[in-house]
Amino acid sequence: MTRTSPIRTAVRVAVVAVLSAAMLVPMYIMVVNAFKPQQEILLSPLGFDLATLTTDHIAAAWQNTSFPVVEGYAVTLFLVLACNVVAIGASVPAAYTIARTPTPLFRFLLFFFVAGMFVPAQIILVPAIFVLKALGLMGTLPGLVLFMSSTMIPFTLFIFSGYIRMLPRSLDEAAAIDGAGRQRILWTIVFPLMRPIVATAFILNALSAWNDFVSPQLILGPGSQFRTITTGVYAAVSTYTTNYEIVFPTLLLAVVPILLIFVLMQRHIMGGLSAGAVKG
Amino acid sequence: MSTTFLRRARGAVVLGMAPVLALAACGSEGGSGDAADDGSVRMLVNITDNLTQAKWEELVKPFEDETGIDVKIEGPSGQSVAESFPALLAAGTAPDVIESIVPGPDTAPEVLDLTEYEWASGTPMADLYSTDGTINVVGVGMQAQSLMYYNADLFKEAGITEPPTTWDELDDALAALDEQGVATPIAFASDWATGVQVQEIWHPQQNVTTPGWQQSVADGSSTLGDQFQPVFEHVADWIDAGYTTADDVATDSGTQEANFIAGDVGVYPMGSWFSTTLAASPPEFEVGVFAPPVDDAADAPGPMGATLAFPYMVWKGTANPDGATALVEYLTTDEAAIAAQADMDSFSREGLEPSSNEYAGMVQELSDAAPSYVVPGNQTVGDYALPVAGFNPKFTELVQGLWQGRAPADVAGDLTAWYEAEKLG
Amino acid sequence: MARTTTTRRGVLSGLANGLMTLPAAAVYTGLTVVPVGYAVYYSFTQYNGIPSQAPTWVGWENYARIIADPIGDLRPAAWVTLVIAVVGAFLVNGAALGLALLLRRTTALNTFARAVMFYPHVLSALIVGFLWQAILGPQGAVNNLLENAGRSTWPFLSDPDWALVTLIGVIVWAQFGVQLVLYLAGLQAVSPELQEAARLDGAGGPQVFRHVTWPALAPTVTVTIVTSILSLLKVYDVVLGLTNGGPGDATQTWAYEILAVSFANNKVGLACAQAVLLVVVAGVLSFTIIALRRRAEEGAEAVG
Repeated sequence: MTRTSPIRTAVRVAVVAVLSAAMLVPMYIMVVNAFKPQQEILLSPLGFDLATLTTDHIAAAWQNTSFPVVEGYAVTLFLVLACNVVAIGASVPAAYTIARTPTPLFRFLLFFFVAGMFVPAQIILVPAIFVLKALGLMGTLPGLVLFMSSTMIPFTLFIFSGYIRMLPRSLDEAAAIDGAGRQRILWTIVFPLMRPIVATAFILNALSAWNDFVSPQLILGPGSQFRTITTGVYAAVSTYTTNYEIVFPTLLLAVVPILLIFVLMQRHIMGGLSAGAVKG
Repeated sequence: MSTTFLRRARGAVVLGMAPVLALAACGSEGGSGDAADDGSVRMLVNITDNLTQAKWEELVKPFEDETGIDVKIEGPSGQSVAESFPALLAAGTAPDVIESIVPGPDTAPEVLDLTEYEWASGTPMADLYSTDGTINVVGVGMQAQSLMYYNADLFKEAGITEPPTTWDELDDALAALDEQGVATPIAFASDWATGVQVQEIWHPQQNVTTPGWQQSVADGSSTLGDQFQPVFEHVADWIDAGYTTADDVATDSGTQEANFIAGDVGVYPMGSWFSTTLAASPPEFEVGVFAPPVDDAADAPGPMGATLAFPYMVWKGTANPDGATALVEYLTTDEAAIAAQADMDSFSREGLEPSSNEYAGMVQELSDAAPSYVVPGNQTVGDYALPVAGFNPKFTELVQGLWQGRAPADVAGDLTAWYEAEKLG
Repeated sequence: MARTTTTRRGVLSGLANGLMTLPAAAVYTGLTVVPVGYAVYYSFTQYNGIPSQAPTWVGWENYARIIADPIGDLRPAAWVTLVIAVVGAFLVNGAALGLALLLRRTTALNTFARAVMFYPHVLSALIVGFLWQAILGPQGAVNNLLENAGRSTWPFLSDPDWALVTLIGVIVWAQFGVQLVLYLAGLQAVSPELQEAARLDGAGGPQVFRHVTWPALAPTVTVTIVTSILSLLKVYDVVLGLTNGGPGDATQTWAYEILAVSFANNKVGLACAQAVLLVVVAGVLSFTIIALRRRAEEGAEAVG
């Protein structure tokens, strides 16, 4: 460590600082321009004039009926939680059974689930519509939750079963001798030990649910009163992509809350991801 | 130890139950998608700058008050009704009434036959939009599509005294504008607009050369490529001369309209709805409108490409056919409703007071002067249907190739090849 | 007697095992496996997706159409997708690995920088697309700056080649943060003793990287490459926001072709055939990479 020269450290710090600043430029452009009239956005996209800053466009975006911001956040947060509950809740017992039952049948079952990781979700959406329709779940939130969860299950189950396999078997065997039932062993002994990997799965699933656009777009459809953040932004912006008085304020409203969540939870999110990556 | 254990156990039980609870909760709040059997009518409409959700609500309010039928206005979840409709049909959640699109080869069997309703045959353009005498879409009026808005001040500065009537004159006019230093002598826009604009400037001459060209293409006596190659050549010449650039077809129509209003554009081909936009923010210069040119001055003005304003169709699977048809009847025959729609988006209709909007007035003059109206290619409907789906998106995609330096003959060839493949498949 | 009890216990525990996997199997089968089955079936039919009209069996016609590509629309889409997947995966991983090495040590600045590199991923691809369209469009921020400075504008989104490069750039900007986290985690697992030992043996920085760090990262590299290729093969949202497939068909990806062209024009049979092909390609590519990487990973075990 003594060999790291102060010059090299300085260069390193400078490079990191410049790169970080570069990553933030688009954010800066979005924030500044959300408070400017179109003419000024065109004339000076980077600067701002305190005299002409206005919150009119933000207010207009806030009131835009095609993108109800608060509702959009509520629906999207609900999706994040519900999909995680379904995907994790279903994957834990399945992964436990698969990991602890080394018969060919269960090995095949694991393979069957893992194969789903190679099926891109948006691609099977078209045929999934027919299934949801047959179930009477088309255009409903439960239908959407089930579809999104099903696309999360393969990966969740895969990392869970890998993790459980690393947990010492003696733990559950001891509990079994004490007369504990299988469910009890799973939820009171194994599951608490799985916390790091559950956190990883939760974060990854949350990100994919949060970012999903096509599934809510097609499954909910215009008949539903529910809009997610992505479908709301699309409805509000897609036909006005160069009307910057609409684009920047709408995007700003769409990203500020999630960025705040990210900043507050940053350590947990990044930590959770890397914890899973090391152990999974 | 025992307290932690209990706490954990309880937490685990709650977590284990959560999926079940969540689904049960979802189940009770769900099912909101279709609300057909409560007597309400769902109507899918296009939402634009001119046609806002609020204006639609206002339009159907008197109908709701009179009949007690609740009308639910729905904006498309995609960019347009045309893109949303197939998914809705596949999902079985199609709305009862669909505004803004006309039946295509796939969707025609899915919409209600309105021929038996007496009021339907009296609606504007009913015969032009019917298929073998069957009316399955009705509207409130006619919207002229083949229009060239121009900046009369720039024309004067460039020494152009009369708006052009032939293609040669148009070429000369654009050259003069370019010479004068006009930023964009003729403006095209991105997405759907490129296709619509190139088609609409061509309708007059196209229908002089081949009246009812869609039928000629359908019966094989002409090809799509042959039909459009001449206009591709004109456009390619303009691109070569720099009158329009690749940036144009990456700039959406809203921005190009703003550019026109700002005085940066010489000529802007667009349908009659642009007159509503102009009236909302009148430019500081004088605006004029002329009909797209023809080859031979003797043919001027040529037939006008025209579309049905506010086309409505009723979904065959509707749970409330009476309510749905009553709503369509109201929208297409009630005088107050027609007037309200004319305020939302201008169109012409016999017996309707011409709009007080001066730009709409100019459009009206051109519509009146046209020898006939023709259905444009992007509205493949009725007896003038091209037996393919997705004509305008494909046409747009291919025609944008001209701005990337593709040869007109290649683009025309691809268009024909696409038609042949789609017609079979 | 004793025997029957064990059998019964065996059956019971088998049943219990089955019950434990049931919820996951049911949801996954119902909404992923069955749809794939539907997709395979519809891919052999001509069907417009309208429930009241029945699919007609056409055998391999949809696949023949995709391969023959009579109107030259599918091959460009396949090409665009492949370029995005291969070049994108390469750049994403290069950027992620480079930054991981740079941000390896946990300092306040580095923690901040890691978060900054990651944040685009929480914005959602659609929003990223719209944002960059507003920055790089013909009248976007960058071109306005150029124009105001009296320079000519750059066709980021209006020239087909530029548009594809821009699209890849935006995707890399938005995605490499995730892989960065994976690489940082992978680097933590590299034994510091080994590195120190190598250094004591007189190895320089690049040599330590080549002989110690890189082999130890092998499993991470496999995971990041496979996950990035899988996500790049289905790129759709960002295209919708950034270019909507244009100019012309320059940025129409395979997923765009399926959802915005085939499906939007009631061609469910063709859309399903395209979907099946993409699933096959995703599977083949992933397994090939995993197989190719196996040797490198075995090396990693030797080092670790």
